[in-house]
Amino acid sequence: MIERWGMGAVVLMGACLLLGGSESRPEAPRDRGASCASLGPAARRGKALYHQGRGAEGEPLVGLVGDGSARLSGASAACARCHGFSGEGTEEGGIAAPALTPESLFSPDARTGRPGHDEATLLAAIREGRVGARRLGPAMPRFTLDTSALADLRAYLACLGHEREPGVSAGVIRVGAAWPMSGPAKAQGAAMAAAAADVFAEIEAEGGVFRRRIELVLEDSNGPGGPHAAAARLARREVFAMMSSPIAAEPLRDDEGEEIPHLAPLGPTPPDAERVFQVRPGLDMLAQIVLAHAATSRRTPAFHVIAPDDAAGRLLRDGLARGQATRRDLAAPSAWLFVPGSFDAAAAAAETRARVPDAILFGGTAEELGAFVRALSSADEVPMYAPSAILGDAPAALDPRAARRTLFVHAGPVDDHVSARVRDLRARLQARGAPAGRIGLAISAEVAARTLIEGLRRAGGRPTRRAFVAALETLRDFEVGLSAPLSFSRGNHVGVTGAYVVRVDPVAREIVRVSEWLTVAPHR
Amino acid sequence: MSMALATHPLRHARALVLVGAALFAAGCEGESKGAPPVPLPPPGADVRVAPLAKVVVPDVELVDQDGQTVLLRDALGPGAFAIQFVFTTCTTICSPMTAVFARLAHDLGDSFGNDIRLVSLTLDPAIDGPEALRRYADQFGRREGWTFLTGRPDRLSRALRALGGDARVKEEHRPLTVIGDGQGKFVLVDGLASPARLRAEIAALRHPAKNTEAP
Ligand code: HEC
Repeated sequence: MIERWGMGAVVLMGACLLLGGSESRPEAPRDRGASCASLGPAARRGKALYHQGRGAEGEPLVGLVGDGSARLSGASAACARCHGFSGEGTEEGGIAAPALTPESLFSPDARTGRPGHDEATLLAAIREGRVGARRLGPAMPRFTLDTSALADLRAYLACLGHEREPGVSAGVIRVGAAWPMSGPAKAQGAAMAAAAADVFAEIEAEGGVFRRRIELVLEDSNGPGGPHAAAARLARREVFAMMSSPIAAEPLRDDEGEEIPHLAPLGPTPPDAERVFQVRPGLDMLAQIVLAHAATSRRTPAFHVIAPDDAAGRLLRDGLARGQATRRDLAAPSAWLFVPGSFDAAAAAAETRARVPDAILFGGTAEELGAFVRALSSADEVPMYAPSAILGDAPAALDPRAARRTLFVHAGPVDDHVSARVRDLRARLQARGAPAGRIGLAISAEVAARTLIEGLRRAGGRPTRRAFVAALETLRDFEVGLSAPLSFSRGNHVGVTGAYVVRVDPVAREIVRVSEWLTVAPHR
Repeated sequence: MSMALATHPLRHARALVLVGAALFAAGCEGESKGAPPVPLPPPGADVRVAPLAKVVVPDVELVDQDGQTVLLRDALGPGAFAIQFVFTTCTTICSPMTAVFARLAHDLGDSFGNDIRLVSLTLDPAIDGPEALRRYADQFGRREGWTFLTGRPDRLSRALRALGGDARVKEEHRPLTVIGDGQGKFVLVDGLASPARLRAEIAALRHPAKNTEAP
């Protein structure tokens, strides 16, 4: 059917060419490079309409489809969704949304035979779904836009596909990070900065990424307003991407409302984020791995979650609940959330005894875990799990009784090779005069920096944030060292979706594996 | 699409005539300056409807937008239903299709959710987990009686194959809607049909005598 339509179109167009006095109005595409380098206020508003379907006051863009009775609004009405992020056009299911770049809009179109658009015909297309006498297909919405919104859109369309990418210039790509540069965690911030600087120096020595060096733009996460304010300040400073920084409940956006890609953030991915890449499983995923492990030895473990009532504790609880919802044979978990920082071990133990769970998932600190184990009697032999992150860099510091009773979910690798990499990182930090004591966060910065470089290499010589995100989504089993191999895809932005169950050997005081690598299906 | 369209002769002929008109309008626009404008083809001209024979709704367990396991049959309910095939990262056609279902749910009034249910089945289970589906569904104001389904790829493709929505390459999928009367009769609507058209097709399938089909 499609082929036949195509043939018909060719024949009919031929007829038109013969019959009609063809009056062509070629309008040479002007050089837009200069005028589009930075968008004016109207074009910026137009950009938000085009990409996010969001108007100047935050009101949703609205368009009517089909016979005009069905309504698209907001993100699903955004022009980019159909016409592409650079206005390149897309085609799907035999319905093509044409390119909207100035070169295509303002010159004649061979496919439909329309002449180049002018203001009036463009408005008719957008508002009435009509080009000349031709009614556009029902997939192109008829937009209800007022004159000023139309003017904004018009201003942006003149630059579509010709914008300069934020944070990218001829020789430099700017990457932002909000790390502690003052206060008690200053040493860790310095270690992070040194780890990243080391990777970027190495790349520069190799000639850069497509001849560009990486410039690290730092804000003090301990500065005025705290970590989120620091991240927000970075968003105003033209950075191409962010790495290993604190993350708020909303994804970070630049002045134009575009989400800034963020690699290996310190915190869970916000629900609305589309460009956040985690390099380790979140607590919710770890909870599901715990569940998978417990279910191999006991058929229907009834879990009891003991965790602080904060974002991390709730992630553990919800992850477990979600894991159980997908398995019919499992009982729903119970949970006991305490006010962060004021853990009452005796009360927690009494509560646990009353519930008689099959297993416990503990989300408090290592000290709280120790106190809890001491408060339990030796008769309460319930298997207990905790995320290995609570051990920090010092598994040896764990209360020996807690070490004996607790299994940890650990998403990092466990072998000699890694210890060698960690020693190497310590040495490199020392060589840069950076503190090399607690290096957990420096590892995160190093992994983020190496992943960033790989993504930029794959994104090509004219990197855009979109291409960078798409490039990261092609990583499969990417070896960064210091982390399990990373794999991302369109549907999965969690690079590591598995973990080992480990314990702390009571004699050697080191982490030893007790399970195979356990994985869970990622979900976004 | 794995299933050949069983063509309904009359409808097919009408569709071809309209296609001709549309192409004529498309090809000559711009050159027809000064001449009387070519009449616009009515919307929905390229929608084709054909009966589907031998459809058996398979007994598969899928997962809905809330992460709950459901049998496809239970999602379709005891009465009539319309099923569409979409995916959340789709460009061009899925949003309009889903917007059409939203309006259809509204227009069906009291029968929606009771005698008539809607199902949006994803073509891309790798990306469309329950969470992604829920977010997408919320954008279109999903209500009870309209279910978005994903699931294990093998089960989902069994469902898609049985219903004729199996697109080998998801980007090449056509805007398809399958309508069933709940008594074993099915039609396939190919093209971006308006809510009114879908409603008419549902009515025509359920009460063939009354011939309530839209023009
Ligand atoms: C749901 C998909 C969709 C969305 C959203 C959408 N369009 Fe379209 N648009 C189309 C399709 C499909 C066509 C081609 C219709 C045809 O040729 O029959 C089209 C055609 C056009 C045309 C005519 C192009 C030409 O070459 O003459 C213009 C102009 C246009 N769209 C502008 C916009 C603008 C501006 C927005 C956002 C405010 C937008 N569109 C949003 C699908 C969409």
